[in-house]
Amino acid sequence: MENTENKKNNSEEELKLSRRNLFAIAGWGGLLTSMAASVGAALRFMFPNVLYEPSPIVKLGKTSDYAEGSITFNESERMFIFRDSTGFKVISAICTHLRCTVNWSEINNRFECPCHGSVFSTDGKVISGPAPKPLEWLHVKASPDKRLVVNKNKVVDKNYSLIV
Amino acid sequence: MPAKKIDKQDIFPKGSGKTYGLLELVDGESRIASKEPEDTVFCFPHLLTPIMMCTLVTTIVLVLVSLFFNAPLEEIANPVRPPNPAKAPWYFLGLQEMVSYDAFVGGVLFPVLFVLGLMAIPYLDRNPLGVGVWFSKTRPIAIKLFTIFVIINLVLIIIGTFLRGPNWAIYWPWEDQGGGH
Amino acid sequence: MENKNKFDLRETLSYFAFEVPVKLYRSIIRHGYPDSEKNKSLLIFTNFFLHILPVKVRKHTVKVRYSYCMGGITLLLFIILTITGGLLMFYYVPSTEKAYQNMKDLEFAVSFGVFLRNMHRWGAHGMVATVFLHMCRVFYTGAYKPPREFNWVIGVILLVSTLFLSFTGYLLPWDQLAFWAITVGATIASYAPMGDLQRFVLLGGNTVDQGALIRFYVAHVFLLPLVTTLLIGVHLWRVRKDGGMSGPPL
Ligand code: HEM
Ligand code: FES
Repeated sequence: MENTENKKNNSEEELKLSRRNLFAIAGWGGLLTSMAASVGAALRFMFPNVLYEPSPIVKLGKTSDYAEGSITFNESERMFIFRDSTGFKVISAICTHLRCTVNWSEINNRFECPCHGSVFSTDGKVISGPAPKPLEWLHVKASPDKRLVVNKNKVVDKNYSLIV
Repeated sequence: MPAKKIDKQDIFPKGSGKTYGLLELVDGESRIASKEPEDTVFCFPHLLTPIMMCTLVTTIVLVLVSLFFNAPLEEIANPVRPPNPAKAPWYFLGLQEMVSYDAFVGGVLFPVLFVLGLMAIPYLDRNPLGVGVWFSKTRPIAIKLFTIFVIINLVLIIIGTFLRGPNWAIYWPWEDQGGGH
Repeated sequence: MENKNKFDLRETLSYFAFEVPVKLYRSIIRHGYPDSEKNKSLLIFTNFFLHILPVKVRKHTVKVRYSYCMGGITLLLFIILTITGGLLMFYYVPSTEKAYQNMKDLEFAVSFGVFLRNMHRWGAHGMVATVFLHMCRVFYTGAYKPPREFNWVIGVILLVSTLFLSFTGYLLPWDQLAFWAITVGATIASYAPMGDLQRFVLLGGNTVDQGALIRFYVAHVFLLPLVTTLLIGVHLWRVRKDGGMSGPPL
């Protein structure tokens, strides 16, 4: 008798508890979800959707401005333009280590980075230093008005060349 | 007017409407109370005086340095050409030196390991001895390991500050190294 | 009672001249001259700025040759940096076009501008040095051992935030050092697990430009000082809760 009474009470208690648990779970769940959502929103907020940055596609000088066999450094776009007997090749001057600008060393016939001493050969390969990758060769084409157009986001093979 | 007899009003200011004062909740024995009273001194003036002296000396030194030495300011930013050599302030030259071997290992892996390693020290060191004494002989290994850590940092900073010149190549201090801080 | 309504010039003047100053003083400083034990105690715990200190400390704590005041000097430098930095903000505009000019103005056109800038820069160098020395002191005196383990961890976070404060700080003049330090620093971030995403969020874009400067500025004058101030508060509170500064066992 007593036992059954107890049992009944217990299960009622359990029922109540589980109902209470449900509310507790819902409450905590709602709270934590909204907190997580706020953190997520704050993080997302830190990533701008519209960038006012210069276009990665840039127009350089006339093809006839570059003498055959010359290497020209374009200051504002941080790239070297190679003009050989057959055409044009463009290599980025941005060091693949930590993005300093490499210098062309006339004496050593190679690229040298002033920041942590990476050295690259004429075809961009790493000779020494901490740079993990060769310098990037960039896609170049000629516009209808015979000017060079370089796409800084389009990396090409080192044998790629614009034949003129 | 030194109060000889302390009565209730002195401790609980009259009319503040406050009838309670919580001084401290302590779990277990109190370290200070368990000792004879002679082992403690009043903060005023015994601690406040050294604090004031430290404050004065530090402030005077900083003011003098600031009067006679100007903070560095380089050329205006030129997004095309980094200075050669481009040196960070002395406290980051250790990092710069590590980065000049490998960007990931020197710039990410080692710094993260340094910080996590430092944080873990109290949980790794299970020797309870040697608290409150400089260079206690009871913890020779811990002291040696930490000293090695300090020396590595100093050596990297010294190399970066005094031995690196243009193109981050090794130069001796008496050779011309170009700019820097 | 009756003359209360009557205006007595002499009484009024003497009230303002002698009684009001005393009342004013007593309303601010609520204890007598600290020559009694009671007043020495009241001096500490009725003062907002001093009440982080206990009334009494172990004799050991007072020895300068134990801590060399390194934590205290770090705190002092942080306070000096907050004040001088707040003043510099009146003349500094976080714009890639103006920032460098503002620095030159501080040097040549603002009274005491150069002095404040020097205080701020050398104070920052000093703080990096003292925070490191403080850490060494704590290590070599074994002061990180129980119950102070977690205060050491907070200390390490303070060391890191001090370094980040310095880094974000010297980027603001937008000189050569600033520009190439951001360039290199943000690229280091791209070697961490999530790659270019981290560089993008640090710079607020793909190039080192206005977006990057404003991010480092907000970090330097708001986020990092806020975090550092909070952590210093917890750090000092824990020093007290852990039984005051460490010392040899009693
Ligand atoms: C912004 C940086 C910091 C400030 C303002 C600061 C401030 C303080 C102050 C005022 C003390 C009291 C004792 C003394 O002056 O030596 C102290 C104690 C302590 N600090 Fe720091 N600290 C900083 C960074 C650190 C760092 C980097 C560590 C270690 C990694 C550290 C670990 C500790 C520990 C464990 C204690 C207790 C020492 C004892 O009881 O003897 N703190 N700190
Ligand atoms: S950026 Fe070129 S070597 Fe580091």
